[in-house]
Amino acid sequence: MTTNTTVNDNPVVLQVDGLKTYFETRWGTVKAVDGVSFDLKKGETLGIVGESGSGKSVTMLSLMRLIPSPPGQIVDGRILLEGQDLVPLSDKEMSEIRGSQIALIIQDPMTSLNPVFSIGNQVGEAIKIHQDIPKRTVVQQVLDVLRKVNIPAADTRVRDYPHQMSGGMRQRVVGAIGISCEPMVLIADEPTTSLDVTIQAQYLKLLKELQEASDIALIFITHDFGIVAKMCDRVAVMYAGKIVEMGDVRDIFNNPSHPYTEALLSSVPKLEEDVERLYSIEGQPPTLHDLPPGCPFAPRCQYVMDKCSQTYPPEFNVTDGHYAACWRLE
Amino acid sequence: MTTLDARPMADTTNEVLLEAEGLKKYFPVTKGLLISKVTGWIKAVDGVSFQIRAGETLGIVGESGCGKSTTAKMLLQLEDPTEGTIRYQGKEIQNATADERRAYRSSVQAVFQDPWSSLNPRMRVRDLIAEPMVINLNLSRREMQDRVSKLLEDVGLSSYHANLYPHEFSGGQRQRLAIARALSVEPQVIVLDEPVSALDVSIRAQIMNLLRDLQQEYNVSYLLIAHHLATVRYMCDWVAVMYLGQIVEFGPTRELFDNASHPYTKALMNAALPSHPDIEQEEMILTGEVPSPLNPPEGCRFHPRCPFVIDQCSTVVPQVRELAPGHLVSCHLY
Repeated sequence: MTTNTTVNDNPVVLQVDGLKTYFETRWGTVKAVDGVSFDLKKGETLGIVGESGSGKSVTMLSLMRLIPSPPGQIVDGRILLEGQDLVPLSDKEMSEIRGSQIALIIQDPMTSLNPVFSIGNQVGEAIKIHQDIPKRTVVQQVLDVLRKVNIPAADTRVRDYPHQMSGGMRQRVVGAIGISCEPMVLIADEPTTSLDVTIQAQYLKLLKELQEASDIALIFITHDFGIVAKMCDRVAVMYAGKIVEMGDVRDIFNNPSHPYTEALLSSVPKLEEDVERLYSIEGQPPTLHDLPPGCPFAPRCQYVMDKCSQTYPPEFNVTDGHYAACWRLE
Repeated sequence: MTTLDARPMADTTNEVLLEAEGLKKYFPVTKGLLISKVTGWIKAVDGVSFQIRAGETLGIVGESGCGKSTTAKMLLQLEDPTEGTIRYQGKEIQNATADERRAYRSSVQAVFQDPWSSLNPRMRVRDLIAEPMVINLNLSRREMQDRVSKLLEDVGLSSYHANLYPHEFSGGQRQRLAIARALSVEPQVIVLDEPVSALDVSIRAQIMNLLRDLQQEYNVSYLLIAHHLATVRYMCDWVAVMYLGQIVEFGPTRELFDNASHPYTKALMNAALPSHPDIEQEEMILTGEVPSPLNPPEGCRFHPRCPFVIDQCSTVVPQVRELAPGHLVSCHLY
């Protein structure tokens, strides 16, 4: 967060423009991601916050071009990675970029590692695919990257299998695969939800160090505002497939301008002080195949007006770089 | 006294409902298939004492493997303690008659973490909620129906939900059903094992507020097992911090959160995520991981990871000190 001012001057590495990812289901078209736009600068950390069904994970899968098709499809929008649009690329072209320039750390290290291959084999796979180098150098690089993620006794542990490692160690291995080809953009999808608190702290610190060492642009997909507060420079809050508020992390926490963001922030208990009573958002998140017209948060909103249920609000600027899609700001 | 006795101050007037003293649970580690030989013991819970008083909430926090869930299972009679006693209203339950044990089981109920696996998918809500009453209470059909409707309304659902099946509900609603079922036999104590961690953020506050309201209405005590510290702060009157099968610190919630004293508690607080980006956290990140309970470290069990370790930590088990009224800590630094 001390890097805030310098990050602002960095060049944009990833620009997402009007991304729409729809799924055809027997209940109708599910607009999982419906017009998402943001950009990401070098060395910057962006948090994408939302509940299950908000579209945050589908956004992540779209960026990686991993949407299962059918039923899913990117129907519109552009994903510009250093100016190159990823959407029209063929699978073969994409597989050269995926893992080398844009990489992913998935949530659950239990299922994202293959139980029948050794750690060294799995970390080496990404390196072998993307870099044309002799076998001995691959081994050396695997060891280097395992040391980078602070795996103790890396030269013996490369021969271990996933089941021989603890959850925290496994998550480090997943991280090692993510950074093995020095990507420009690293997406971390709830990387610490299955970890214990003290192990989570170790892992977040590690991610920050790795980011600072090579100026990686980091996207954190999370439902936890605590992670956002600790790690992120900017935040995008998603609800029902759309970004409802976006801005600098301090602006979001000090001046949440969309009622959903405000409600979410005041429904989380605080570690540092006593809270008399938590605000609780009534109702459930909407089902995406049957969205009401207008603002999808309107049925749960405490400030709801007539207009809200008729037309979806445009993005209103709150301050420079901080906008929210809510009619109250008109 | 070598193990910490998590006993609330004597001046609270609420009567003691449930009491655990020197609870231990060792699981055998065996070798060999047909003629198995015990080669060691996993000391999952190793000398835990605490009290739960009427209408209050005791929170147990700790990381995975600290023994908090095994402790809960022993209270629920799902595991037999290796050693130690559990007393309910002053009466030891291990020596109780079958009838008394049945009465105990219905007065200590549980709500589990995962509402997807804790509700039988083939039963209608009506039968799910009535099941404990069928077993434990002698009610007519009519009374049963009225009770189910009342319970559903108390947990924020309506009586027409009684005809539905669990899959027709969302996660938050299912957790409400689990709570209604736990309340159906009018228990004195409910063991809440991570009741909100499987739910969406916006739903968590609903369930936490509901639990607090029901505590007022039904005057029930909670034992809350959780790893999320802020949740514990919001829900509990008393907090016990567990590490490797033992309670290392205990106190009234606010005192414990404001003056965390055991290095492990401090580390947990520092590792927890801040509620605002401007909150500066002390850099105190523990190295390493929790050692195996098969072979816990000598002396203070936390000493291999403790940043303030001194000579005697590795040999002598620390004495329990009272730092403030009711605030107990087991550490050589005090």
